[in-house]
Amino acid sequence: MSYLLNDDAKALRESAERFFAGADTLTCLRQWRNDRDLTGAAHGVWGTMAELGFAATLIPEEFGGVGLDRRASVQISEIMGRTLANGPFVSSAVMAATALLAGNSAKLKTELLPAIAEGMAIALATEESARHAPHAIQAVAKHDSAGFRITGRKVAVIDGNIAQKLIVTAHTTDGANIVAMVDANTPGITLNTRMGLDSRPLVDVMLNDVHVPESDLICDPADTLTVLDAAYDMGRLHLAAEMLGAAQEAFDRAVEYLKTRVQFGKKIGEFQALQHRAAILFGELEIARSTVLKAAATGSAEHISMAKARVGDIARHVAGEAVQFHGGIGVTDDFDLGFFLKRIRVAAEQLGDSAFHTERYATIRGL
Amino acid sequence: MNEMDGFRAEVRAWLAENCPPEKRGQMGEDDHCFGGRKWVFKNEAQRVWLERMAARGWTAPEWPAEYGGGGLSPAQGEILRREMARIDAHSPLTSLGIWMLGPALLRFGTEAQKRKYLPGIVRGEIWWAQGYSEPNAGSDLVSLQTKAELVGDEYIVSGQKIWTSYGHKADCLFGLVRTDPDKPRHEGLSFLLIDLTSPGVAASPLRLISGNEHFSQIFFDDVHVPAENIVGTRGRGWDVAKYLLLFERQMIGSMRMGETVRLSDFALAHLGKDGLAAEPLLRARIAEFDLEMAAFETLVARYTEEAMAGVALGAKSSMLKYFGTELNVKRHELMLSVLGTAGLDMDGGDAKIATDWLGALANRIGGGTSEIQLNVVAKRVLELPGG
Repeated sequence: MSYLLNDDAKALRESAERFFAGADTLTCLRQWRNDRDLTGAAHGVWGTMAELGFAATLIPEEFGGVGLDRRASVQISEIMGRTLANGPFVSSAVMAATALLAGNSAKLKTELLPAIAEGMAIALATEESARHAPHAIQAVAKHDSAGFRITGRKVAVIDGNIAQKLIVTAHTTDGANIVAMVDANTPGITLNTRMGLDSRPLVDVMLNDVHVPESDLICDPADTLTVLDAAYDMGRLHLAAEMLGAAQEAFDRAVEYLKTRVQFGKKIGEFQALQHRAAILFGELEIARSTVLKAAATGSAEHISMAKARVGDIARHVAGEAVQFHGGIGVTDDFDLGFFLKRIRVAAEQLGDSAFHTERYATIRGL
Repeated sequence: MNEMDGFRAEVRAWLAENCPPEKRGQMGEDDHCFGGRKWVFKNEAQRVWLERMAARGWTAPEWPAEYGGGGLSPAQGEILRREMARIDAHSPLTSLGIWMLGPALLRFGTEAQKRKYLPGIVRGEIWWAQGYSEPNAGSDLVSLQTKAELVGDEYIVSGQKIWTSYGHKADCLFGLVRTDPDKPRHEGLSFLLIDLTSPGVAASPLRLISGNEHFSQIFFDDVHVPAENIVGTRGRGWDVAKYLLLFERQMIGSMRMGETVRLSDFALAHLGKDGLAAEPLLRARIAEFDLEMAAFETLVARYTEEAMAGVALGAKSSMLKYFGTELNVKRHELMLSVLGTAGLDMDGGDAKIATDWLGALANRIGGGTSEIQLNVVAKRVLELPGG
């Protein structure tokens, strides 16, 4: 493996940097938050991102995509983190696409992968508990001749409020786990949408006797957890990259502040108490970046959990210190830093926090 | 087969033929060959291995062949190191001459100095020590006071150095002395080469809390040194020293310090899965450390790859020294926890872990303390103001 960016990754990174530099995503996010507009991800930069091909990054050419790999796609997440850009990239273009590709439904692949590449939002409505427990599936699927009827409650569905389709999981009456594609407007589906900490929606999805034909299963029931794990791992990797970007931006702003803010007649960056803390944060971010590159290169569960745990802890540390370096202004709402702090806190929690991933890593290590 | 594959095949065949079986496998304390005028080889294999490697210049693979080096490209040098690692070949020569003085001479030395010293370093003929710190100049190295006064064509050196690794065993010393006491601190220092057999030199070992006696203090009492022994410009010794400190920090930080076993494997071997399950907090600490260490290793690997590709690492190497030594202390603390009271038995089989823990504390201080590393990053990488 290599830690150096290959040509594809470099080109994509540059094009993402160019695009997001002019997109003013932070102003949009603040506006949506003030207006309580929780559909921002649908009408923000996402349409243009899709037009530019970002949504198609991971989708193979035979399904209308660009056919690049993880090492390229994490570049987009990192830049989205730097700019706090909001759009169903991780949910749809990464996780839903991965689930479809890992499954064996030719019908769903042919029908939906090209749609995702063009910007369709598909969300994973698969988690059921506040703490990440990916294999604990309680929703019940009654199996009959017409297919399945699913009843249950899914929580914290990323981009659930703007998704046209949902990927749902359930435990069947004959003892299997299934993962299926449903239309978001299928009778029996209701949403409960609240404002989340990061000014993005927090969505629960209620499933009440929702009909799913056999033909809409993404994979054989025996492969459900494998497909789910593949999608989750790709989501975790990209959330780590997004946190890296957000933390790097918060850090860069904090260092800039240390060089300009004057107290006691000198720049506060002259104080060694702050210099040492800034130097440690720099080193930690360098480690965080390396773990993301490693995980993107290998794609292994061990390395992805390492990255999600380590970047999560480091990004939270960086964000907290960035606020502290800024003093009073750092905790004012008018100042943008708080948006980075909050986004990082949410992404650190999504798809497993550092305790979850350290435990998973430990298990893989045989502990 | 491309050129690199061809080189790899050649190296592999040569090593198979020439690396004595005794010089393969885990390297113990006694396997190090420091070389020098008084060196007594521990065994015939050690002598043969040094001789064969030095004949090819492979003790200093990337140095120019005209000075006795291997003349290899960085990529070829990396292939050699990897091929040696593949068969666990011992380093033929443990030498500050190769790690530190050589790079200084290649960068700052005169043609005559290069021709005089480099071939001998490659062959391990002189054991070089490094003389920077003094009793009153530790972290504040620039305040050092050992003076060298020019009288005719000689410098007369007086003062004291401390924390000199193997100073009491080495043949010669490179380091900093004050040649221009009237100039501002940085500008009065010169980088000087001193033969430790000269009259007026007295060296004695320092015993550390770990029991280690590798460090020494050296006293200079009107020691005569030829004026031509200055490396670089008189008064610009600080530039040379700073350049070398980067090498040292990188080396100390990325050195595994004997760590070939991961902490999780160490804990499993001693306590077993059930033993760890019975102590969830200990298990959690080990898991967290293991992950933290693996994450740090991705940084070491990335920086190494970037350096190979020609990206200048610069002052970022301070981060390797900082995290590498801090994590090494933490690792030894946890190993002692795993061993419990059994780790405290200084006559027992695991005594080395306690002494290595004490040694790890010294590594956090030597080569620039953790705090100095953070100063370096704050000023030179982040470009924070002041001082």
